[in-house]
Amino acid sequence: MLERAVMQIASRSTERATRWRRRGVALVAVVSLAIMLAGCWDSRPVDARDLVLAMGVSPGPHHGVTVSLAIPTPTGLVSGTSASGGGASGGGGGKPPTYVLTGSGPDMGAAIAMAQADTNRDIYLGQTQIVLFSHRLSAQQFASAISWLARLGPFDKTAFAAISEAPVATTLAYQPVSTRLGPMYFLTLFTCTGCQTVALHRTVWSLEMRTVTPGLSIWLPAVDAVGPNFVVRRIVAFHGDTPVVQLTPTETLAMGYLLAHTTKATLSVPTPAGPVGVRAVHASRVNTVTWAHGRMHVHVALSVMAIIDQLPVSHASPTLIRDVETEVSRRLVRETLKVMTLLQRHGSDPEGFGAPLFWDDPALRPHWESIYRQATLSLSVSTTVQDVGDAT
Amino acid sequence: MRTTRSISALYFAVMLTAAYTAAGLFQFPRELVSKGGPEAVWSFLLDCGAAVFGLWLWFQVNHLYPDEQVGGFVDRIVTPCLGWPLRVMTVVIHTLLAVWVTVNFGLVMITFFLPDTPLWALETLTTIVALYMAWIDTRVLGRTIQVLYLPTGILSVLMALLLLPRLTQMWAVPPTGDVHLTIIAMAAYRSFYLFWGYEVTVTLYPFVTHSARKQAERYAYTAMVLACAFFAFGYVLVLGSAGPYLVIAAQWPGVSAMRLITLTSFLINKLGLFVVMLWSLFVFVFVAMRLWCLGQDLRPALHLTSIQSYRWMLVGFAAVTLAASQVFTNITMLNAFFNEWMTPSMILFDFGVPPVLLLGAAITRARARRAAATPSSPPP
Repeated sequence: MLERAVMQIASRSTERATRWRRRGVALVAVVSLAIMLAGCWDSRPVDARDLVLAMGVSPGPHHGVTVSLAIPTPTGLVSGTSASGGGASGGGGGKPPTYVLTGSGPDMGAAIAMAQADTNRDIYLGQTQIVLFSHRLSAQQFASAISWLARLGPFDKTAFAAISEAPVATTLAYQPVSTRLGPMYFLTLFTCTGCQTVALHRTVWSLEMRTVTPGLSIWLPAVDAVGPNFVVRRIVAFHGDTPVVQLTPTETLAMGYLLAHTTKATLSVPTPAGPVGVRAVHASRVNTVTWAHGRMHVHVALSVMAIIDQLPVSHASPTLIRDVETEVSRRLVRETLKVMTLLQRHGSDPEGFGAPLFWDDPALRPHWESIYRQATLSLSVSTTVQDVGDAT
Repeated sequence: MRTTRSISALYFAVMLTAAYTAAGLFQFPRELVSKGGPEAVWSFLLDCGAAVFGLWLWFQVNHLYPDEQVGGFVDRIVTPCLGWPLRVMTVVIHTLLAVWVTVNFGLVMITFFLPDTPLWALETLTTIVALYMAWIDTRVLGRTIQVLYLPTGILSVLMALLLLPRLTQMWAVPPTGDVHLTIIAMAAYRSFYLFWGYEVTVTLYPFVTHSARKQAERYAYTAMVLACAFFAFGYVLVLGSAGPYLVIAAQWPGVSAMRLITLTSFLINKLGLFVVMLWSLFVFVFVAMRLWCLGQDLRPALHLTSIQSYRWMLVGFAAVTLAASQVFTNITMLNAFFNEWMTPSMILFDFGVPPVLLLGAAITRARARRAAATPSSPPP
């Protein structure tokens, strides 16, 4: 009896010791994890950070680069991110909601370091919404900027990219009427692809991809800081890392069809009865690239779904609809092929016609530029009127 | 106290799959595309076929003595002279795998999330979590893996679907008609890391309950086919969204592609980053399986049966893993080691050791049969 009781006491004592040991191990584990998971090395209070909303890259002194960083002030940040979405006349006591820091150096990192010296907070690039490149950057400066951004892990590659002919610091400091925080204008603009005539959004990721892919040229939307808001309706096409041609708004529209980025483009089509207003809702395309007789042959087949929103007569007839479809197709062939030829002449291939060819046959890659310049380009457009509106 | 020696067929399949899928998660399909070019698809299929064949080979080894670990019976079939080098090789292989994945994960974290955090802190964190997972028991480890692994895997696939609208480079996915066997074989060789770690089956198999072993094998093959489908899905998404040249240029193309997934109106708008964070669970599980294997492999040979001995070995190998991880301070060094030493070593181990063991067993059995057939001489 006594022996059994002693055994029970010993057993309980062992269990208790084991339990406490386990608790000890768990406590040590929890404390260690809590310390490490807190990420204390990288921890910065948000009010000790300068959250960069837009970054501008332009040529700097001595062949270096100048980086401009648009940063919201604390009051600008609060008013600009409030539920109302702000507006230029929002809070902040008349002070500008953002300020621009600039720094110059032989490379991007040095330029950012110079900018860092002008602020008492940590410059944080993880919230950058847009990177604005100057039109005057040399090919080497542009390529090194892309390379720097590509290696910058915490930088969000989904940030938008654009190009500006005006000095980028001036463009970044521009205050649009519709948005209190200027750089946030682009977030609204580019994330709503269906809101634009031609969806012109480009991301840093796409730039990175196009920089390394032979046969796939860079293109960027051009940003102009004029009027009440930013104006974004032209495309700048690149040859390699150099901007070579800036398309007019009409040519941009044609290229929008080519890239299947058009959502709200309109056309005025002449018919025997008078001009017809057509809204091309959606264009999809199929590219066929073949290699024959030592030349690349490109054929683009566009399918356009259109809406008639203005008629010169009171009643639409099947004949008129067919005339409109034919005329829209003919006009799009003419305008789009003109843009294709223009881009080819400048050695720019934003659609990347040759990329699959060069991937399949690595021997062609070193010659892709001359192959593209000598390629035959053709286009066919098939238009279908989908809707004539709520009137006969 | 002995460790539990009864896990179900499902636990076996999940633990086995978890033991290899984290190896290639971050850098796949860079090597496949860079070496295979337009023929990468054939290389991938070759890798999948080789992995299934390799699994079959290890199962044949298990069938020699189904209730024992290789560490226990290897001396009987290839003599202790060869047995101990094989044991050491096993230990080295699992340690290297743990080191490779721990350092790789630490560098991913530093590059994308915590640039100011020291690498050693992240490696220590990974090792401690893995140690804790492997600490209690085999069945508990299996349950932990099952709870963490399957939801994370399913969530990854669902989130990856959000990449579909970004598939602008799909032209790079279909293979060309040209077939160059040397290129295909080289790309398959370089990218077989996708399946590194499946050799854990040789240690895990004896823990499966007797009645469930055939079923466990079937589940393991099925899980491997599903893993191949998972990787094929990842291949299409990453290559289709990044294009082949960026896949080659990026250090961790899978992570880069997942970072593109955003939902602007959702509470967590950077959903892709969230999934990459969840992938840390795959890494913890992978390293936990390596530690578990290291803790179990030498026990039969050293005649250690208590759970305390297992835990001491876990702690010892975790410390070795952590110490060895300090050798690699950047991804370039890790990649160089990976290409020059780990790839040939792993291929040699996975496709060299099982045939040696099977041959040794065949010779041993033939000798035993001959000895049994030879009439013994009468005692003088």
